[in-house]
Amino acid sequence: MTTAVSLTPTPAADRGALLALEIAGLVAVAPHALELPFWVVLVFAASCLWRYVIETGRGTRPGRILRYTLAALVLAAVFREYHSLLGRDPGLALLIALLGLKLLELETRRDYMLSVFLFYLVTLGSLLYAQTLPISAYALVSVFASTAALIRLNQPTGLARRQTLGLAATLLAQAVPLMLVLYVFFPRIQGALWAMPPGGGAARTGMPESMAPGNVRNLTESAEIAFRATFEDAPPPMRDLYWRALALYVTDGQEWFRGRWSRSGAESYTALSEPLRYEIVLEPTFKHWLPALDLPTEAPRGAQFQSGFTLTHAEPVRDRRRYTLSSHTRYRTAGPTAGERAGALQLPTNLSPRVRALASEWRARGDPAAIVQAGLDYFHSENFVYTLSPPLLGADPVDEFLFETRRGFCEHYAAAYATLMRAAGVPARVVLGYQGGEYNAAGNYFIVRQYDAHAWTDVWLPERGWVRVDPTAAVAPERVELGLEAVRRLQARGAALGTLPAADALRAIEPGWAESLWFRSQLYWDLANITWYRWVADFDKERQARLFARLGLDRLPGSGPLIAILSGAAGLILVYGGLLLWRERPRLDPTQALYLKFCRRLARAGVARTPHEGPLDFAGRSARRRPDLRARIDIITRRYVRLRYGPAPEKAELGLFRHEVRSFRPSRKRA
Amino acid sequence: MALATEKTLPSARPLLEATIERIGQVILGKEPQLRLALACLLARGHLLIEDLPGVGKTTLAHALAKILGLNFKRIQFTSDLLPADILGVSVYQPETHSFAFHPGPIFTQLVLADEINRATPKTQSALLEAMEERQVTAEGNTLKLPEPFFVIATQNPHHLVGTFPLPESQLDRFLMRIELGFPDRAAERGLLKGRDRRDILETLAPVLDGARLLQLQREAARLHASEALLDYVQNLLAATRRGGRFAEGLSPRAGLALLAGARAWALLAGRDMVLPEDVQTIAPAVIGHRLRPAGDEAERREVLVQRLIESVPIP
Repeated sequence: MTTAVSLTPTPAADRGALLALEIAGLVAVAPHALELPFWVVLVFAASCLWRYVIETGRGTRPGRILRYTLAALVLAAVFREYHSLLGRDPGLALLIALLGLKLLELETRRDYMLSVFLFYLVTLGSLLYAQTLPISAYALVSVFASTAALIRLNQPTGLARRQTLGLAATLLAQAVPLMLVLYVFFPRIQGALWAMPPGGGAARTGMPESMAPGNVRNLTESAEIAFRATFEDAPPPMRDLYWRALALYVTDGQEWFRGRWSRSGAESYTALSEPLRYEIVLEPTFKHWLPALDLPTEAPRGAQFQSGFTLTHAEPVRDRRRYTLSSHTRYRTAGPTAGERAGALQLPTNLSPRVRALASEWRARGDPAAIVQAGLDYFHSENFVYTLSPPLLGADPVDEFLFETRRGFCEHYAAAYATLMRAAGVPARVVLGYQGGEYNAAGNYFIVRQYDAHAWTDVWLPERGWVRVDPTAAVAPERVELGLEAVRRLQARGAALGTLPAADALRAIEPGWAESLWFRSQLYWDLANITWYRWVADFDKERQARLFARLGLDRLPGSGPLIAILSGAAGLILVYGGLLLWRERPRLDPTQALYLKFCRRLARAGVARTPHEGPLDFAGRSARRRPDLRARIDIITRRYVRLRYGPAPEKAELGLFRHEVRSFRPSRKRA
Repeated sequence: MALATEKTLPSARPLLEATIERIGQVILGKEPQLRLALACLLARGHLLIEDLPGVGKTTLAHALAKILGLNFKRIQFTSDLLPADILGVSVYQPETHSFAFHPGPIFTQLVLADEINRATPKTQSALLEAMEERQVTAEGNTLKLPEPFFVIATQNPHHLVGTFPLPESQLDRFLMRIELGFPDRAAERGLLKGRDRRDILETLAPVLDGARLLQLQREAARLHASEALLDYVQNLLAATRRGGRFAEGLSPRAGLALLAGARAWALLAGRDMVLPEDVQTIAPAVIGHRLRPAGDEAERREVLVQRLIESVPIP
């Protein structure tokens, strides 16, 4: 029957069903507009419209040739976009665009149902990009819409719109417990699904792997969040928030690279302050490095130390990563190895004479600490300007910056300073990372954005080891004390950097109440998102294992907790189902149960009762077959009939009946 | 019944047995049908006998009327019979300058509507409405029909020419439909050898009267039907409504008919309770004409009902 039904065309007049379907489709597809090329969503929406016009009888269905042409066009366009048809993005683009075209040929009920099921898949697809709170919440809305459409399709006339929506909501609500159980206990799929290559080149703003004039500055345009950091105890002051990402040793005069001194294993250092424990939630970078506060003590799982106390992860960070670290902000490091020392003194071959002359002037002072200070004084006193829009530099950026433009961003200062130090004989390296961050008081964590990207230097002093020196701070202390956003605001107000006392600077950038409300709400929104991530989206294999361990499930033998959980769940479902069946079981009253026992005994004696045989008929028949039992059968049947069908039987009757049935033990032999 | 398991009602049983015995003298070899007819009467229902002419339909009606002590009228249905011919007619009285209602033959305790399917639907429905409502409305006056009121309608099988078969909805008005069928050889020999049936009818003495019959009807309606039995009736009804064996399931009215018939049958059997067997026995007569097989199965209704019964376990 059902197959026959499923093949019958949906009545053409049922415009409501189409509308429900299209709404569900648009809801499912809409979030993809953010990630996929716009034309994909447009194709889908246009198809919806076209199909609706057809339904109203004002348009014609596209013929087969047109449909195939459109499908081929979609294929070609996706390929043109991604140079591939495989991978997450091209796959989703293809799915959505073709699903739109599929709407044009909706015919049977089966087509409708299939479309809805694919909408669920499209909804799932939106979670492939990110499982943030808004996206997850939206996915729920989308599932609701698809479910409502499904109900509408199965109830061609039955339910009012409110009932349909109500039923869909009820269904979803009923699914919640199961969803939670599955969420917690279902084996987490790590990597395979989520690390699906995005297809095509993923161009993202983020910390570059090398430093050239201008490429850190480019990041200052981006307010994208780089990572969030939560300290277990009181956070250190802003000026200590130097988040190391990369240590750069090699320079060609233009650009700085990491060089070949990377090595595994932590360099040792002596802590001079209490350890700070903190957790970092890193947004995808598609790079290997992991930011860590100056200086981390040990590498988190899956990561290892590179030279310069930087951490790299074995795999590029393709999705949000959460790791816990501890750092000491005061420290004394050991000396560099010979190789590292040589690397930290490497100079570009074409170092300009002016730079060389300046450096050798400082070198003459002998004491490395004095040289370091001389460099900072030079920046401070020589009319250098910290600016977010430095002039472009030519072939020898360090020389040009130091002696001509004197307007630069942090990377200019870091590069020039490190070059000068090296030329003056002090081992130095450039460190790329982030500085500062926005403190979210509501959630007690720092939000570090791309525009917090920063470059500074480490210099090596004989008695103190590697020392962090930030030449930018010598020029614009506000950058370090207040953050880049403050600098931007100060500059917008025409204030000169490095001149105002910190309190005045703060007052100068005091936001208005509306603005501060906006900031505050942003912070709360961020808190909601990150809480969602930490408690829900980031429930990965490792955390699941930890939960199982806490529940004592990890000690189970065999394939471990998974099997136990699954069989436990299956058992629970069976018990629940059994309970339902038990509750719905036909209640046999005692009379009937005893009578059935009597029938079973007679059956063993050779007379089986058919289910539709009345008691008197059966008694007559069995008495004819077994005349030897006639008297007993008569008595029992008479009693049964009175108990079961008679008016108000006496209580004692049942006892007698029970006795009669139990003592009824007919022999098998035929009389 | 093979068993004497029942508490017998003091007076009903011998009376009813005597009735059956007495009619059996006139209608030979048809005891099951006689019992059904009597049960139908006790259940305050009307009876439809469907069979060929000459098998004793009229004689049965006559005999019932005689033995039950009811007054009796026979209406021969023809294609030109009008409703007024059944219900009665108002006639102008020149003396009083008014209309006087002359009651028709329906104002009788036992009406034999002979060959009901020969009349036009209009006339048929006049009768059927009166049967259902047990009253006649004429000239704005509502006149009660006598109590007890019992209609035995006979119908020729449909394949005969010049008939208006009763529609399904009208068939529902009859509590039971039975067929008499040809007598067996022995019964036919008795018929051939015996006196003229009309003479026997003349001499037949009544066993009951109207008042006594009414009392029996009330007794039947009060007969105990236990929850278990009601379950069984409901299961039967449900079985006709699902599974697609029948074009339509049984109506609630059919359920009431089934129960009333079973009660009357139990009373006939002298029991003070209804048993599933009672339901099974009267079921072919009560629901046979209310069920239509799905599709074009040309099965006899009785067979269908039998299969239905066999498919429903007694709870």
